[in-house]
Amino acid sequence: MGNVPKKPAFHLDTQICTGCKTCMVACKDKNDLGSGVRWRRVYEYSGGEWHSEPDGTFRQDVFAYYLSVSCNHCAEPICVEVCPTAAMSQDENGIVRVDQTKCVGCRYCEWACPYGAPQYQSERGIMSKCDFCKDELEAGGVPACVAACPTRALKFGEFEEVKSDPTLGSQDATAPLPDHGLTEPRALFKPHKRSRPRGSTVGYIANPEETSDV
Amino acid sequence: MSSYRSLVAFTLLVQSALGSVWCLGVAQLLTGSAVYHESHLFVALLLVLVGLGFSTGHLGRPGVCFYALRNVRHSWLSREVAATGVFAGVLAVTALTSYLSGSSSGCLLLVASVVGGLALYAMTRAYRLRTVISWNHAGTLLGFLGSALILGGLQFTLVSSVLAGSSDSVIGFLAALAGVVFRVQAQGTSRPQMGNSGAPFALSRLVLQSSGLLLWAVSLVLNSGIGLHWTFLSLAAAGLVAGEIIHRFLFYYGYHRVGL
Repeated sequence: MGNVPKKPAFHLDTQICTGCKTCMVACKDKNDLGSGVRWRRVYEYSGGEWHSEPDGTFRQDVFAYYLSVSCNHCAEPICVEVCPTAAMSQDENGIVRVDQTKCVGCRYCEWACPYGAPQYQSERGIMSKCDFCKDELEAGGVPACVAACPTRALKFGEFEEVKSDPTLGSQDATAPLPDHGLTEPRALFKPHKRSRPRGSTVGYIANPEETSDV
Repeated sequence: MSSYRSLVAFTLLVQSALGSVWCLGVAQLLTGSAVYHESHLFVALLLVLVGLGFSTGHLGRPGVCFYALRNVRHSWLSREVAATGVFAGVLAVTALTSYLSGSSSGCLLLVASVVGGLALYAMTRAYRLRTVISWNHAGTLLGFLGSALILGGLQFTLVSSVLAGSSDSVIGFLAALAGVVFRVQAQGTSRPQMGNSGAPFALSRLVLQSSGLLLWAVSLVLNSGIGLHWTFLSLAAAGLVAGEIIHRFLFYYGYHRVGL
């Protein structure tokens, strides 16, 4: 058994994340996920426009940054709360897992989760989700997404330790992340220098076809 | 989220059954004994059972749908399924008792009304997720109540008219009017859903339901002229049911969650 953190948490430095999606691919590869099933998603949040100046010139305030998001293994996971079959549960490490033998595929957890973490496997009619690569953690390794990140923007650690380090950001420092009070996510995001604050609506998710099944 | 058809059918059928039971209760209170008591109950039971059947249609694994009862302690969805099942059971007992004894039991009808009301409440709570801003408001409950009264009033009137040519239809019409009041109240508490893309559907729903109510009112006036009465009532039913179906599809397609 490796040294599994008591409550593992991802943390992402959006300033150095390039949106390469290697983490997404590594996750899909490691977990053998089919088409349309994305336990980790990289959202491109962008916006801005041109403004005309009184002197006849133009300036722009365009911005774009990336958020690599998987299940945040929340302290108050709404998926666990609403699941009618109790297939969603949280283990002793706070890792939210789905027991696929119990799942009826009602997709209620998918409706409820503000991070889009539970993913429907249509060919099996059940939900699936990130389990923090617990097998890797127990073997002394690191999650596949963290291992694959070429810029080391995505890391993980003990939640209480990373949360106490102000340089690692916060749980909802940047748009379009939801208010952390909804589910108390165990994940931190260090804002990009052009980040818009939570609740800002000036930007939009520019790659919906890469992050959702619509 | 591509198919909401089974959920639309489930929610509307159960709400219609509940509304008709409430109308039956009122009719019994006012008249002492409602005509064809057990027929109303058997029709309501049939709708609830068909609705429960439809509800399995959106599951990935419908064969193990009964697993959905495992988390009654915490999940409102689980409670909704359980309460609807109990509602069906109480309806069955009430209908059979009424059929076998030849007389109606006001006590059982009251239990059915209360259990049905609890099922409607659980149904509402199942949609009032704190992360889904399009549903997490009082308008969800008011909308469901509106549907129960509009469809239930209509169901009660149709069953009464078919089986007895009864004048109980006034009770059904008043229930539907009350349902419209709830619907208007719901409109005031709801967030705009679907933006402008839903506007044509919302307008067509309004036209259909207003026409339906108007035709229903005319059918009441023409109660003595059997042929004309049925023509107007059938058209009214078509308009009201179509309006409810559109309303419920708008509800589901208006789903909007906070966050990513």
